[in-house]
Amino acid sequence: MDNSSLEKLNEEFVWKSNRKLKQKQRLLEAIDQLERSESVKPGNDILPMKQNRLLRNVVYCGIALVILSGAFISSAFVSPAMAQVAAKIPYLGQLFKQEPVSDVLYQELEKKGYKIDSLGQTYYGGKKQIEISVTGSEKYFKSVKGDINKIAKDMLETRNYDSYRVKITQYDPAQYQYKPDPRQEKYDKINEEIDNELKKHNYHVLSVNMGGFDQDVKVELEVPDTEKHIEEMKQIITDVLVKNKEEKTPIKVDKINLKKREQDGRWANIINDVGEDLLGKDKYHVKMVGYSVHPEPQVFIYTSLSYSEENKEFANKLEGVIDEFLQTGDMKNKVKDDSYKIIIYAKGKKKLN
Amino acid sequence: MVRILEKTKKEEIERWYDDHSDAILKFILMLIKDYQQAEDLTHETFVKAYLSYDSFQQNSSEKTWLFRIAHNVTIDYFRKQKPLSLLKGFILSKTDPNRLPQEMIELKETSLELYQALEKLKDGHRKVILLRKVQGFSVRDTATILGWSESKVKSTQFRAIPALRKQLVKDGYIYEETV
Repeated sequence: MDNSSLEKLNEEFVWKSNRKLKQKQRLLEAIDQLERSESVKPGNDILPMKQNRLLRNVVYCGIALVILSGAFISSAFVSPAMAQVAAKIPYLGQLFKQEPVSDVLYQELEKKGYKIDSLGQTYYGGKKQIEISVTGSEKYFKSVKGDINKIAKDMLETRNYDSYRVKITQYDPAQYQYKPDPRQEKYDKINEEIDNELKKHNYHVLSVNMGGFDQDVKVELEVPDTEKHIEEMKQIITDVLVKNKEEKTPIKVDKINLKKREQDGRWANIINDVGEDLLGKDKYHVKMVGYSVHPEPQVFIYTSLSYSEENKEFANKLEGVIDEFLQTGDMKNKVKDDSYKIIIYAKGKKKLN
Repeated sequence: MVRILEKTKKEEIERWYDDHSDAILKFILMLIKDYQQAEDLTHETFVKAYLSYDSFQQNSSEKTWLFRIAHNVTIDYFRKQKPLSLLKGFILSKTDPNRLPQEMIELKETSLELYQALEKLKDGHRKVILLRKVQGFSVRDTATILGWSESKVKSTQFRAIPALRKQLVKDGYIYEETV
């Protein structure tokens, strides 16, 4: 470690430009509001207001999915009436077969003519939220916010989802403009050329893309692990790079096991179904769900439960219910013949089952 | 006339935001380890800069002044959140860097180990390294930002760098003999 590596940390740690712009808009709005108000003392809504996270949906990302973002102090699960809890669990199977509540809500709001920029279920900071970003002026936003809130809450209630908070924010495109990145435009052009050149041959290319950070720009080529013409492909890419004076750009080849990739896609889908109800209802004490297909499929259920004998019993029952769900018609088609494990964690990632 | 001044002030804050908000967000994030909160506190920093604009004396750079506000805002946050943040610190120390929301912030792999090691340092050590080595502030400016004496900055830095090395060794990122 030397000084240069510490200086580099500053460059290599990047706040995404779209987030920065969004925050800028928020700041300018706050200043406008301050300028309008007679008093310079900020109102409560200016400082502590949190900003919309603009996520279209939950990001489930395999084993890397980590939950503990923090500010939760969930009550430990105490079960004076374990039998009651267990008795409720069988309903899980029926409730699972639902589209994500955010998808249904989005469709509903669109159908009713509301201008929605984005809508998603988010899980940052231990908070489960339905975040709705409404496109339009402040006047429009104020006129529809109440109605949208009611529709969202009604829908959550219909599903008995008591773990979500509804958060509605305004998005005004007039004040939020992206500046095109000239480097990205150049990379896009090179990507197109590489694509065209590779298409002239009969190689099996899964994807090819030039991009990355300043000193880390590279061309990433994804091919099936059965592909035998990697050197030829690299030569074609090199030729395009030389032509565009980017000959120093390294080429990284990823050999993909297609069976594994297909399996990964299926389990990503399965985990969405598994998580929908578990995350929506407080009674399950589920903070997040995740999966991995390496080496074989595993479903991870992260709970806010403490580690205790009682909770181990709950976890075993929950495992049974999830397993049962995975054996139902629809899900069986997705699971196919994969063998899988369901692992339920207590707080602190201690295995409960 | 007043209106024109107001507009200038807003424009100036906007320029400061363009120039320094990245550095401030990252500084706060590395102190509080909560991305959403870091965004909120960065926002708060610039709103406060706007509100206190008239008291800005040109005897330090705007960047130093903004960092001082950011530091104060963060201290206030900790003061209000103490019991929660202690718990959070405990929880977060068991997680991995993948918790950084990738839609919002990116960290290159080559700096990951440094980031992780810095996270584990004592607050004072971390602050000094972030300001002196990562942001490149002078001893004097660092003292202004933290509200410390210059000698405290120097002595803390003297201990902080070996502490960081030790942490990197402990985490297995560098070998003893290369230290």
